[in-house]
Amino acid sequence: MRRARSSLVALLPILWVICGGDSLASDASGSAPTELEALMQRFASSGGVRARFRESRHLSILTDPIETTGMLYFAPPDRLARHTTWPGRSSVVIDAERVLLGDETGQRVFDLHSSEVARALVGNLMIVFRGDLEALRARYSIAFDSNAESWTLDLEPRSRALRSVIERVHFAGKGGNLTEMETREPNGDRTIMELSEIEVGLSWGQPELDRIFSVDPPDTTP
Amino acid sequence: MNDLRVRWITFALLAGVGLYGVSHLEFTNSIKSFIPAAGELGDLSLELVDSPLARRMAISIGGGEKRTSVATALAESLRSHPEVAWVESGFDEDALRGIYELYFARRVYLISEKPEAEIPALLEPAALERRAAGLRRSLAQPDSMLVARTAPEDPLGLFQRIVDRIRDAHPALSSGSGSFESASGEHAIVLLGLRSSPFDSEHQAPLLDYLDSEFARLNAEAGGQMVLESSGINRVSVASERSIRGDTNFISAVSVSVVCALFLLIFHSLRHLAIAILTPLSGFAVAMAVALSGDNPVHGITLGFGFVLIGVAIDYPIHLMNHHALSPPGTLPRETVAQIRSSLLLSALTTTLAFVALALSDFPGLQAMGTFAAIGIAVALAVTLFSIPAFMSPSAVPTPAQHALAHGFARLVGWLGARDGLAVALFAACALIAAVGVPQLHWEDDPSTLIVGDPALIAESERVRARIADFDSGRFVVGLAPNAEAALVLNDQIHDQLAQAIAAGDLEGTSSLHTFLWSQALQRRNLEALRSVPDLAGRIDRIFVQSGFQSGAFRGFSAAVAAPSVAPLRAEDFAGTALERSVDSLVELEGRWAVVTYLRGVRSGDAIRRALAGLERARYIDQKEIVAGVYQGYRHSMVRVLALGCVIVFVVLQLRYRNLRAALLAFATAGLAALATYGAFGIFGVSVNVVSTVSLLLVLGMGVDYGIFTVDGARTSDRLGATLSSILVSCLTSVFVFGTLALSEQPALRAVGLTTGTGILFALVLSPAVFVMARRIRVRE
Repeated sequence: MRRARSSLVALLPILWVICGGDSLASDASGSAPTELEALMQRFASSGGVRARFRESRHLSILTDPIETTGMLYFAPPDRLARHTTWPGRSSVVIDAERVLLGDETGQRVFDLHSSEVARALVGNLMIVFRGDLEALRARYSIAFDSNAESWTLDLEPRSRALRSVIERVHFAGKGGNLTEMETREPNGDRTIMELSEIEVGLSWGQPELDRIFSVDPPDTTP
Repeated sequence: MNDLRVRWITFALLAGVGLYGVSHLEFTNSIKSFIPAAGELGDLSLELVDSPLARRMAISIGGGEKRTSVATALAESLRSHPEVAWVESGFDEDALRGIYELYFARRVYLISEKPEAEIPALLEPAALERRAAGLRRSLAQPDSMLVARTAPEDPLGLFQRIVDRIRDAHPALSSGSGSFESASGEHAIVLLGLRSSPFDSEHQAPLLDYLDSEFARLNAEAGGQMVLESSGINRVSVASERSIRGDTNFISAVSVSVVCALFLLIFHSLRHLAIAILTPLSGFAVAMAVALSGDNPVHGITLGFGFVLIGVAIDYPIHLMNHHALSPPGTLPRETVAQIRSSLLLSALTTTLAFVALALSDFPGLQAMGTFAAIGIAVALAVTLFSIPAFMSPSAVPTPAQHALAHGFARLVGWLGARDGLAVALFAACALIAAVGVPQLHWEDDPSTLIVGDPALIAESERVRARIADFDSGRFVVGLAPNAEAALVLNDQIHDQLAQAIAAGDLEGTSSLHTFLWSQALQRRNLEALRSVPDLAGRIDRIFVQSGFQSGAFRGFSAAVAAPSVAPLRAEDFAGTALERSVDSLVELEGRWAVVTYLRGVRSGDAIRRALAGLERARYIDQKEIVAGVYQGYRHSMVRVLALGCVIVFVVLQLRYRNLRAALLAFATAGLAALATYGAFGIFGVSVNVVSTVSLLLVLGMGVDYGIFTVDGARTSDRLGATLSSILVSCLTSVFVFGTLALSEQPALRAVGLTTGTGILFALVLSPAVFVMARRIRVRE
């Protein structure tokens, strides 16, 4: 379950990005939201999302960051897939209460029921989907800042269990675009993800959904 | 003492012991009662049969996506049941954290089973290069956070080796979902421990009922598609007990009914029936009270066997009342008693001695049966002699049936007497049956066949066990040592040598404590092997830096090797963790320590023994094999007991008659009937077992009764009809009683019924011939 929890931790910033992707991309030509409430409302109205990601993991034991690239998919209300395509192929899929992992070593399934932290992570993300700012504030210390061109959102978990996994999640955007997202862990390790080619408001048929949200990643972009 | 007082005293005593029996009634159906003392291996085997290792159940829930949530809810519900010691349905986050904390700090102790060879190989440059590249790849995975966090202190992935070892040993219970699943992933698994013995039906039956009702509730909430299956000795035990209880009720009802019907037919009187039934009831009640006064519960089979007292003990009032009815008018009951007292005493004495021989058996279960019957017969005789006359009417008139039977037998004996060869031919026929059939007898020495389980239940249990890759019940290796550490050292060796048996295909797998815990000696050897690698830190650093790792990133590991933060793992460290049950297989037994390795898929016991060669304190135990061997030996012993019983009975008869031919004739009914019974079984292919042999003692006891009455009857010409008609009624009651035992689902009771019923029929056929020959001897004298 630690692996499942770790996977969710890795996905947390992605979910945030995707949740906000619709709003941010759809408002790309406009100004950045000046209020957190407005940002949350945009999160709440997100639809199906597809984006290309590039991730850099800065680990204290490595001289260079580990770079990965791949595709992210989100289908409301509770399906998310991350398919890494380089340097190796692997997938993480969240489907309601289940987390599926797949790589060259095989597939693994995790049940969120058995992990308080994992359940809390997903539950918190659902709060974001709903745009439930009150519940979000109950779980995180929130720092939101914006000016006419950019905004930042910093979240710090209130629960000790979550804080042992994530120290802080930092989002930064310009206008309606997300420009940077960083997850910082208590040991100083950082994960920075950049998103590009974000498409929002997508809807897929059942065969496509089954293919995308499986640990056998789609070979071609649907 | 007048008759009224005798009646009241009889009723009062019967009521007293009856109430005592009912209020103290407690019985068991443990197979342990049928396993004799069998030396070290047998004793060890018996101790483990009822140890905490056997006190567990596995529950499987299938039928759809909701199986896991139903299993989790069921586990939660069971947790509060007083009979449940522990429940596991998966490893939650706290459990996993506990396992992490147990092993991560001790990773330097648990690297290899052959540390001196494997640890240096693990730290060869090429091996380190592969490890560094692998670690780098792992760090690129989306779920690499744990690896990233632990890598500075564990660059060699030692903790993961431990986790993999546990996962490999228990694939069915290592699903990533956190919940226990079957190997196919189609069933959720719940394991639970029992506080009481699985043979303790008083506690197990309510638990199983609770389990069923809770599952029914949860299944209804989940849509009704779930299917629960389970395995556990307690299920078989409770089902067997219910079967025995049902059999006992059935047998007793049929026995009583048949005896009642016969009584009404012969005596035309319900009063006679009520009086006669007092005898076996008294014998049964007193024997039961004595049995329940001990520390151990009465075995269900002993109780069932006790009902045969109805068939045996009712013979005495039958003889008394039949003789009294056929006595000259005006004869008082106590006068009739005086006339046949010596016959009654002798027959009861020989029957009691036959059961005493049974009570001297090495089998606890058979001892109980023998004691029960011996007490019952003695009490029945006492009641017949002292109480029954007080209930009988002073002047009895024979019924037409009694008249007809008495005259019929008189004519039959006359007819037989006129044909010299016929009586001898009857003896010869029985002897021929014995001579032809006995050499063909098939002996069944598997004691488990004495108690049958529901086939559907056994099949269900096997399915569940297959889902969790459970070990073979009754086959294990036990290492014995004076202390826990010595036991663990031995267990390391056992594991190593059994691994070779697995590699050779002699064994499918093992369930060993070694998966979770090694001896402190082996753990220390691991640390020493690690420390003896020259420049360990520098070697790791140089090679990992080449793969892009920071120089000095693994100082934590070097520090852990130099000074581990904790001592090697001990059994006590598992207390309170999710793996607490794993160390149940290390048990203290009467001052010594035993460590048990369960086996799966044993190809042959000899191969396992060969695999354990050189380990003097390691024993391969196949409970079935051991007990079958013991039973085989006991079978020979039982035959000797039977022979001894024959000798004792014959000596008693000789003492009574002081005439060899009369004694031989009195004994011939029983001896030939017993031999002819086994002869018939041999001819018809009926397997016999220890219980069948014991049942021959019943044939011997009752057959001798008939022989005594026949020989005594032949000595007094006026009692010819009364004697033989009494024997016929006695025989019929016994045959019907034992016939119903033969209908029992329990093989042990069935064997008693079949053997005894057949033997008594032979005795009945032989009785007129014995009478004719006894009379001939009498005439010559």
